[in-house]
Amino acid sequence: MAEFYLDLVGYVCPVPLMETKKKFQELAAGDVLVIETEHPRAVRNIMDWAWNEGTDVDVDETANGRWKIVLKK
Amino acid sequence: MKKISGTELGLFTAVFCLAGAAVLTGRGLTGGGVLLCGLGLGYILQRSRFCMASAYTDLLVFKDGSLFRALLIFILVCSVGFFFVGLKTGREGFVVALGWRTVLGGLLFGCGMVLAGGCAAGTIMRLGEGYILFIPVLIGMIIGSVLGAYHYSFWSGVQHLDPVFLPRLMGWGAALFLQVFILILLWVIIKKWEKQ
Amino acid sequence: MDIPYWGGAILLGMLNIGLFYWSGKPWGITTALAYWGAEGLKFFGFEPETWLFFRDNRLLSQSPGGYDPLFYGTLLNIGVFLGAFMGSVVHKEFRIRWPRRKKQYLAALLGGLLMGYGARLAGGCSVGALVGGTASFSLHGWLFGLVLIPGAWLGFKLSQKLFYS
Repeated sequence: MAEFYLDLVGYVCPVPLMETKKKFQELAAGDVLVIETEHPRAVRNIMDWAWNEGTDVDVDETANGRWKIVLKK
Repeated sequence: MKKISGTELGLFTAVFCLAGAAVLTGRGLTGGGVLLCGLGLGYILQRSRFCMASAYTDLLVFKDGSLFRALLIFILVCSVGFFFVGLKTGREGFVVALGWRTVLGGLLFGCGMVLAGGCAAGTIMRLGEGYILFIPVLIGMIIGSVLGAYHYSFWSGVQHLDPVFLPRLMGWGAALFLQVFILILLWVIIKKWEKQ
Repeated sequence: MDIPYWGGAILLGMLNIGLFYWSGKPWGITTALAYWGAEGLKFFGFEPETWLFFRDNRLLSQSPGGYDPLFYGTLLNIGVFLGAFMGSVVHKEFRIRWPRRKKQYLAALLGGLLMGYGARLAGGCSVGALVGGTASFSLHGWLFGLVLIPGAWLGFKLSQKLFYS
């Protein structure tokens, strides 16, 4: 049960989802991945992917145009 | 000084555009509708996260066709609408010559939109969202566009077909039917392919 | 609240139809950009109005039911910019977004150059040629949409190799 952090601020598509997928693969069951991004489309991109995979996902807008996405493996 | 809220700023923008449209209409110009259409396009583009570059990369890299299928719907809706506008006014939209220049242009454009992270419309939209990164994209697009215009006489001399306007080839009804059929077929194929 | 992709597609389509009906031409972005650049060149003493591209376009705009690409295109681009600004401020998403690496500026400039040049070759961008062209029942739109596939793939490989490795 470890928590991993991925800072994707400043990147645009398709980098955010690519990095997310790569990092998520390294996680063990029960681990949590916290992602931060400022790219509005990346949020939808990552959420869509998580829903399709059946992954537990939570999103929160921490500041104007800045999101924190929490994925649970 | 009181801080302006986002809603107020948004309202101000809308009023600004409405006033602009009113001024244009008052001067007997037709640009008012265009400005308001642009405002709507930008708003919807931003709210729906629509992006042509991502439509292609999502499909090719992530095997996620949801945005590409939406792009097909976009083309489908426009096709039906343009059909009626064409019938009513006899107008042609964008019908231009095709050939090697279309192939090369598409390759360059496709390559460019992924490198830049958004297509031409996406660039203008993201500038409105406050992206610094898309300022060099816009500058590049202006320079590239001028360069392309400069080389236009060369490229229009390269072997190509004259514009192919489907209704002239097969009649309006058949053209619409064929186009809608192909678009729906593509939609279904992508949906099936995604699920594999 | 976000609009789903398909909903956005329908709304964008309806606005594009309205635009075609009111202004005479469907939605396009880059032709106006070529004019902006040409205005800049005029300032430095060049004569871009003698180029075939602008001569062709002038003829087009002077024909009956003509369409002035500079005037309409500029209004349209301003509209899209303000519309996106409105959408992001109203929904509290506006933010000055800085890129992460210096290299990204280079990728952006190169991508813009390729897009601008490619759009002039093909006769439109992804909105003008792929959507507008195809929906205008012109074959060039279909061809453009098809070659965007290898183009985008190439762009993806290039961006991986040059800018994100």
